[in-house]
Amino acid sequence: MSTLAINASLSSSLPMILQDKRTAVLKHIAQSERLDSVRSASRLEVRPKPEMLSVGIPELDAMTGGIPRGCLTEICGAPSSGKTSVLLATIAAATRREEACVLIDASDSFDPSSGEAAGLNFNKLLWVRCGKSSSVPSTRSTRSGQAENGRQSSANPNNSVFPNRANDQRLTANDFRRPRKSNENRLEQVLKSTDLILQSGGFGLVALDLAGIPDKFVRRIPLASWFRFQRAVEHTKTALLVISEFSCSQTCAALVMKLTAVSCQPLAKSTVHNPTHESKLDLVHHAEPICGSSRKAAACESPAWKRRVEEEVNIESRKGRHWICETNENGSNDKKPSREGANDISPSLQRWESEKKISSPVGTAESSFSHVPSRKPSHAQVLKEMQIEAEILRSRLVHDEHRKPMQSVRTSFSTQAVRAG
Amino acid sequence: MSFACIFVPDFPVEAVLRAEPELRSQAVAVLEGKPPLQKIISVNEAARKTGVAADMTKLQIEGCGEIVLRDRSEFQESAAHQALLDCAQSFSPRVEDAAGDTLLLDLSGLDKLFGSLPKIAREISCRAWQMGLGTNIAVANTLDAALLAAHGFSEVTILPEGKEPEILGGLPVEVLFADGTEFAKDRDEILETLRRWGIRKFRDLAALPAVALSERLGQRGLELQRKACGGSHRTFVPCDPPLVFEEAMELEFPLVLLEPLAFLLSRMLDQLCARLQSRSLAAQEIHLEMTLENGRQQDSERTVFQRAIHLPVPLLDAKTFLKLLQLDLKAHPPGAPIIKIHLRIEPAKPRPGQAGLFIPSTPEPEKLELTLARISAVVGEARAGSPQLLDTHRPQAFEMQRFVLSDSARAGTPVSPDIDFEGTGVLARTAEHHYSNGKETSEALVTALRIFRPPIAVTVNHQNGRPSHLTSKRHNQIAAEVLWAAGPWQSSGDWWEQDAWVRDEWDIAVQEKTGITLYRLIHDLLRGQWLLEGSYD
Repeated sequence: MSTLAINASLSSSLPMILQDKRTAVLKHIAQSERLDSVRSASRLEVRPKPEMLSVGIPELDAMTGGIPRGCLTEICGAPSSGKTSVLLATIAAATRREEACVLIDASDSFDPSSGEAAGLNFNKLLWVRCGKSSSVPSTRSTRSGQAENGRQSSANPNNSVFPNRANDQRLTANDFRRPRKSNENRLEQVLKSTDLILQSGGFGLVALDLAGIPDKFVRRIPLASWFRFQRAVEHTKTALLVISEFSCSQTCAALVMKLTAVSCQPLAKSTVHNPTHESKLDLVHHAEPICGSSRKAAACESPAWKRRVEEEVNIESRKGRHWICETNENGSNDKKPSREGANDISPSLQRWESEKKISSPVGTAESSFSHVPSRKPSHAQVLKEMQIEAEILRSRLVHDEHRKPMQSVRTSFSTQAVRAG
Repeated sequence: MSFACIFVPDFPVEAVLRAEPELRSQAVAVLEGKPPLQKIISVNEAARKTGVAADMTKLQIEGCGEIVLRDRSEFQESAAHQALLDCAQSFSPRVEDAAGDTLLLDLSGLDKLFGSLPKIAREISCRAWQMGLGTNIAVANTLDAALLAAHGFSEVTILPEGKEPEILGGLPVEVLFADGTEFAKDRDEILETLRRWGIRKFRDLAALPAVALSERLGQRGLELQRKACGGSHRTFVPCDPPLVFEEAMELEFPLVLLEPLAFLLSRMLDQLCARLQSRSLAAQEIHLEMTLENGRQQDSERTVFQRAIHLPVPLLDAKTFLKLLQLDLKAHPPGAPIIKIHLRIEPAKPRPGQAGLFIPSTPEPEKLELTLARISAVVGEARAGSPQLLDTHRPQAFEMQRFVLSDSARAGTPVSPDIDFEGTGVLARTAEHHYSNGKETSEALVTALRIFRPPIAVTVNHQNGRPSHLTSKRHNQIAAEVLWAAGPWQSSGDWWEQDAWVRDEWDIAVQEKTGITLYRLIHDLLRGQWLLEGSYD
């Protein structure tokens, strides 16, 4: 009982003592001269608005105002969601403004033909292709930043005049046997290259393409690296753009957008459901010079082409049977007779027939050519367009004076497939 | 008319000290000849104080204390002479190459550019010291007076007009033969005669009666007396030295590590950059040639290791050059110990530095070169640059070129910024410019293809002549039904070449865990392989 009474008296007096102490401490702090230079959070000035860089897509520019200079912007999305298309459009817009751009390609997957179709000025683009083991072996660091292989770092023969062939061979062999090492090597190269590029300065746009790297490796990029990149571009004219399959830079990104492929129009209906008719037109087009190339026209007359058509005709011209052809990775064909579609006509045979039409000097060849301009087959028809929806996941940019953009802002646009090459 | 003379005393030693400046505080002597008949040809002041003099043998100087001995290097002397020429050319375009260690300059009219004659002389001395050469400078109204004063007096000497006999009078008569005149072969005979006459100084010779001197020594006597009085009949012969910027160094011990090599390269690059700066030039190419030890005599290519660095723009920064060379040597080690280094720089006019307010910012060329070299060291050679498509229809035909920012980017037409300064968030002018034309918009926004390098080999099942299912052994995530397939796009080419290509291209949609993925599937008809070339994204 007595213990309970003591506890009750303490519990009643303790808050009073604490409150007195708190009041005294606050008074002491308020009298401190250092507080004069400290502003309260409510009076903090709004960050200056960053300069915006056009993405090259009017819908995205209208939604986000572009991508900010001096900040980190992230565009994420699943495969075939259109993020690479947006990346190319952004680089193309920057190179049109005569700005020097860098593309640090983690998976070495940039297609120069797509870049040219997007309007890139290659003279303004520095393409860093990661993935190959460099001639200078590097110390592979773990997440903690320590050297993974102490023997390798201590016996570093880089300083010698003798080439380090044994070490190079070992690295290459490891990379070949263990693809995991290859991904780590790629990421290490990406981080090093990005550091070097950002330290160099002067680039208008630095783009990191991490889309081809598996998630588990991208997640290993320490947050400190993203902070370092963000601090490196802060107060500069450089816009840092990261594309990946998921948001990986976390709070360091000033703007995070997610892209989703809503739909894609694969091809004209007739091509899907009526391959017989379209395949004729395909071949009619193929017999003519594609893209105005006389070399391709010559290729159509090549022995290889004729041999190929003959082989296909020999295989598939067996009447009354339709073959399901399975080609394995080694190139050998395994054929099984199908129970269905016994009366279908082989497309290769029709191509052969249509080619014979073209090669004949009279008759139907002229009418076949007359169809070409209206139904010119291309990847624009094969893969016509992709409808893409963009959503802002996170934004620290101040559009209005009083509010930030709502996170549920969405927009949609489409990308057109083109045939390059 | 005013002339200046630049004279490098103990030139062989100065050439050595220029290559090895850390020896300046030590006693140094230069040897010439084949062992064991080597003789000293030149010593510095510190060695002279220890009792070492020219024409002594190596054995004779063993008891003279600690003296650093170096063999005479013609290449070092040639480089020092070139540096001396560059120093003189940086002040006057009219330079006479009087001897390996002596230059004459015409200073007429330079006072408006560089100030008074004493100031010019001091600046020449400072510039020569910066290039690693200790010199004597003399300025006079006649060529011979300047030349004799430079040989007779140390550091800077100014001979005012009319006071030449007075100032030169204290010099010993041996100096009269220092310029290598035609009487040099009679030097000993004339000096012996003058010694017998009791003539020791210039003023003694000048005081002799001209007729009596002519009767005893002939025209030689009169000419020597005229020179002793400060007069001259010498004609100024200007030269046009070639623009050769090279340095060489022979090493006493073979170098095995790159770090000490970097020290030597740094010193040589500093000297070359100083010479280039004196000529108002910059470097366009750097050629490094190293002679290796243990090189087989039959295979001369392996004995000499050569590297060349081509700079996209003319640069003049020794630190940048050194770093570029270091990175290049790390990527391409010589493979054997180094015993000789030869560095040559191809000069070029420096780039104009005019910039504008509205020109987009670009990386500085020096930083960009270093960055590119470092990135190449990280990702591999020729894997950082600008892609250029080749003029062919072969798929994936491109080449990597060096990333060079054109001059138009640095000094070209200004590009008006399409920046939203008002903060409206919409780039109105840019949008109007780029999107008012519908055709341009449709061209700009294309579906990009991500290339798989190398392509993924897959096994394809067909149905109705179209791919219906594909699997990959190495990529387990690719094993799915084909939702739709479109194609084929048939292409072929180069059938007249060894590497002909014939292929069908299909665009397919495959359901994966993350959603529908679009791939480009190709059928290599020559090899009979099905490959996934890339994915649309």
